[in-house]
Amino acid sequence: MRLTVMLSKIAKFSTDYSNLPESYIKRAMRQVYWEAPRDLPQYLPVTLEKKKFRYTMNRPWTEEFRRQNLSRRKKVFVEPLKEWTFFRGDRVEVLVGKDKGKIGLVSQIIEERNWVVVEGLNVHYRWIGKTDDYPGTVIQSEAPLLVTNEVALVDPSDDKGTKVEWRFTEQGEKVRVSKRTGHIIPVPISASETIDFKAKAGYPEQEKDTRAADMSEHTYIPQSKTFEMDLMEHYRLE
Amino acid sequence: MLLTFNDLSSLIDFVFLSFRPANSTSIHMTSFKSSNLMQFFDDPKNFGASEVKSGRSWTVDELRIKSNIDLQKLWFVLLKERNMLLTMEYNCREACYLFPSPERIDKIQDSMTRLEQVIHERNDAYWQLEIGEEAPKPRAEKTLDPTDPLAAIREPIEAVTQVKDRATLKFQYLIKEKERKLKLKQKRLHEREAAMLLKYFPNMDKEALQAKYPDVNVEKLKFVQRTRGSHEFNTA
Repeated sequence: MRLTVMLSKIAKFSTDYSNLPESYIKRAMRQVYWEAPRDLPQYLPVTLEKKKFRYTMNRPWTEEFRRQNLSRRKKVFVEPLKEWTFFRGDRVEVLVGKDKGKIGLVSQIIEERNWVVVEGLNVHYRWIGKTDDYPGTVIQSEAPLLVTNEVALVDPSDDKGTKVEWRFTEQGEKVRVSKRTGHIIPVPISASETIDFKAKAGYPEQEKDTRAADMSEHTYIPQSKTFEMDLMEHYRLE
Repeated sequence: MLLTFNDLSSLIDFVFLSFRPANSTSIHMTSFKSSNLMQFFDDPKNFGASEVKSGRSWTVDELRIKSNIDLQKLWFVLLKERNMLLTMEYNCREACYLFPSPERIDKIQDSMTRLEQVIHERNDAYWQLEIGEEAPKPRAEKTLDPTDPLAAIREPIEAVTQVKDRATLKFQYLIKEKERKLKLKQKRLHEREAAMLLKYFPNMDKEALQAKYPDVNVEKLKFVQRTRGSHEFNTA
């Protein structure tokens, strides 16, 4: 149970939101202690690398995550969930702490720890940029909340937290239904938001990006030829 | 990375030109434009940038609708971009500068791998139809099975155990013992993890737990001492 097991522990949402290829995330997270030289046959192709990562508020491909994972720490037990029910932009009610009962929007999701960060709620204050003579600036930072028992989705009909279930509508669509009232809680639009764009249509095409029209242009006509044969005929090399 | 087909004329020049050594007596490199070497480097406005935005890589379905000529052109566009990125990465490392957006290299690599896959599919179709065999793959893929604990030595094991003599039989017995032990170790680890999860999360969904650890009997875990927390849930 090695190799790709490391990557499978990163939730799909994290990779989707970041717009980063999986191989890059794997490469950025990698901490290799020792790797056998592949060109010498007397060594088995082993790689001694870090396999157990502690997922934090920092994303796995960042430098801060790497620094937090340099030393080995106590194991964190994360409750396995069948389905994930929270999305960015969801209205949730905080159930614990000094902001108990207040409603806020989900700003960040860390699925690997069953965490959700609610904007402006469950905050603590910390000082940054402190030097010997300058006291620094105080900033507000939100602490994450556990999805299982510290946060509840808000039922739009009565603005109170409820337990939620995934059910199918008559049309076959999978929706979240509040267990108390039976009201459907729609998935917010900002759920499909990523770091690069708020909506796919609003993505500004970069210089080196292929234009959408060019990309969807159908130019292939299947023929009984291999790739090489087709090219040779085209360039008249036969 | 979604890339353009716009620079085709310069592309063909680049691909088919031969490089002359710098100290040769032949005068000027006539067909060389000085900008050709600068194609190894990024746009100057990206020098010292902390981030360079780029689109996603090509998907297999998007590549399948392109003709073979288009795929060939795309390959070289991707190759040039990859060379440029690798040059930039090397130079940034040498000069101790931050290389912006290193995920671009992985996006290109994904596009190129999928391009090769599409070409192989088309060749395979012809070979299966006309010749009756599978098309040969130019590069031998060597991906190890992640579920096999002895994946790194599976090939040599199979090679050695072809001859059935006393030594290989003894070897096979020992290898099976090793596999058995590793499997048991894995199972015990999962049982321990599942028991600890039950201890810390007594009200959790047992089906989700069973799905996460398919080789563990979650029902039997309530008889295990380890699941006892400061509560009476999940105990026999």
